[in-house]
Amino acid sequence: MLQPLIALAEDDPALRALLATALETVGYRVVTVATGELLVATVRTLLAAGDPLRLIITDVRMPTLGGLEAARILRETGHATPLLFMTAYGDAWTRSQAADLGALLLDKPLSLTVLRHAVTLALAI
Amino acid sequence: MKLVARYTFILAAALAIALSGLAVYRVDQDRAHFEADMRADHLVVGRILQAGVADLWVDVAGGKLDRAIAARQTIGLLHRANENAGMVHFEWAPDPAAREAQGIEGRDFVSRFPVRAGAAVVGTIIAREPLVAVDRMVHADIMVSVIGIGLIVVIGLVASGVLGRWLVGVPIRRLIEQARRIGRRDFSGAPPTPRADELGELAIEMHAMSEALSTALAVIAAETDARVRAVDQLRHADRLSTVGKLAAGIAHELGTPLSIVGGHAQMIAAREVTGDATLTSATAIDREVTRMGKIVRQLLDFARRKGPEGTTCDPADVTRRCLSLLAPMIDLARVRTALEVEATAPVMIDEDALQQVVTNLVVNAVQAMTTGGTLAVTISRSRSAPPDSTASPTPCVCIAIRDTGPGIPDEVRAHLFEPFFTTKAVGDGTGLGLAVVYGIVVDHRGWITVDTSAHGTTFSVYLQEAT
Ligand SMILES: Nc1ncnc2c1ncn2[C@@H]1O[C@H](COP(=O)(O)OP(=O)(O)O)[C@@H](O)[C@H]1O
Ligand SMILES: [Mg+2]
Repeated sequence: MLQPLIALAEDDPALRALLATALETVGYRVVTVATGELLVATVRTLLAAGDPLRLIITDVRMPTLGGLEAARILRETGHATPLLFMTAYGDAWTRSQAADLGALLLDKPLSLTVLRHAVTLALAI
Repeated sequence: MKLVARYTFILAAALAIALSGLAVYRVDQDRAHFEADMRADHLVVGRILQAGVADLWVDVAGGKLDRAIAARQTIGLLHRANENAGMVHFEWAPDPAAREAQGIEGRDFVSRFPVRAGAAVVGTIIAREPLVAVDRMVHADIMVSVIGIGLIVVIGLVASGVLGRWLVGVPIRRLIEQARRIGRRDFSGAPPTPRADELGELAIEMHAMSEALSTALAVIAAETDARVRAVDQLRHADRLSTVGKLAAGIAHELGTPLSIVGGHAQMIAAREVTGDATLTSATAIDREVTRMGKIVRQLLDFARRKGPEGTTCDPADVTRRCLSLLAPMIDLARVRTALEVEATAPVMIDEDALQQVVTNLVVNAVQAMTTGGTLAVTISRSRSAPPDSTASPTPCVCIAIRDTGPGIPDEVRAHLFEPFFTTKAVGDGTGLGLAVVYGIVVDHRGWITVDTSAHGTTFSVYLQEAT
């Protein structure tokens, strides 16, 4: 069986690499991007190609296009892929936005264990 | 009430005068009537008696009757007439009066009727009626009039007093009270009960005016309130945004490196990475720790930006030292430097703080010139005051750092000095540089101006000369 495919958007290269490794180690396939714009483009391409994208993990604060905005663009164009947000500053507004999108929100500093649990959970829904 | 009293008094006086006039006229009329009545009565009875007595005396003239007997019979006749004639008293005067006459004689009304036998007048019947009755009647008339007038005046006074009070006094008192209330900015008056007179109109107008005033004042009060609240909110938002942004910035800046450090440590601990990969993880951890150290140091700069009181330094010296320290980085960016010291003087700031200011501005300038360029630093003296301030100019030293970069777009310019605001990639910028510069300069009672265009940007730092 094909391993679940996850798209990961994070502007910090070191964190991006670490998270990709951590997820791949436990058996997921991960596509990484550095910006919100690239996330939107990549998700569209993947879905158009018929790839069964199972989950999108994205940082909230990224330069130019943040994770929330990117997710909203995807939702508005009919993509219903489950979402998982990461943020270092999850204020009430950010939380309510994430909840509106029906997404989980993880606080930074991230624990890999927590991230893996959250991914399992998000994929199970 | 003064108005009502005056009105009432005038009304009563007018009424009394009119009624008195009427009474006098009526008494006159009554007297005239009474006299006319007497005259007519006397005439009627007098004529009858005249005819009867004349019959007696015709016989005397014919010789059939003795004069003395006729006289006695005449007196008897008159006597009998007297018994039925009320106030009128008839008497017989044998002396012949020529003409019939009627009129007032003393206190009586007197009618004289001559009695003829043949051609000669034989005597006169005198009808005498005392005027006492008329007097009594006139007196009664006057009494009635006086009492009537008095009663009417009293009733009029009372009625007009009460009515005046009710129609004029009370509404006016109410209007006065309302005016006083409006004067005290109390607009609680209930709407007036409708009245179809001028006072009613006035009351309605006044009520409308009071309502309009009240709304106007309420609007003004609301506006003032809103303005005060807006200013308050702004102040609060400002405070929140500085502290909040700082907190958010710290969280964001440290959240990522901490995640990386923690992640690698977890993976090593879980033996998910082994062998050479462990080395890569260790390097990554070291790099992130260095990054966090830098952030913490800059935060400390931000917090501890004020040096010891009263120290001074020479901006030219400090700038020169900064440029030489940064020379490798400047060269690497293929940037030429030109330092021009037009004039210099000691300024009220410690060396470390000024060095930080100059370093941050120079680093920004160099980072802005991604394809190389020229960095021109000019130091000059002038008498200046902060822009948009009313302060009088003071002697200042200005350090102007000019680059030939792309300039600063408006949307970036608005956030230039906010902590953690950066347009640079992760690792290149923390967004604390200008926040630190701003804090230090303002703490030393200096100011910064920014001039930017598509051809470059100049940051000018003004510091007060030491006295
Ligand atoms: N000389 C300059 N030319 C153009 N942009 C500048 C210049 N100096 C500062 N900026 C802008 O201001 C931002 C904030 O600067 P700063 O507070 O020093 O943070 P950082 O340099 O870490 O980004 C920069 O990201 C950059 O966009
Ligand atoms: Mg900087």
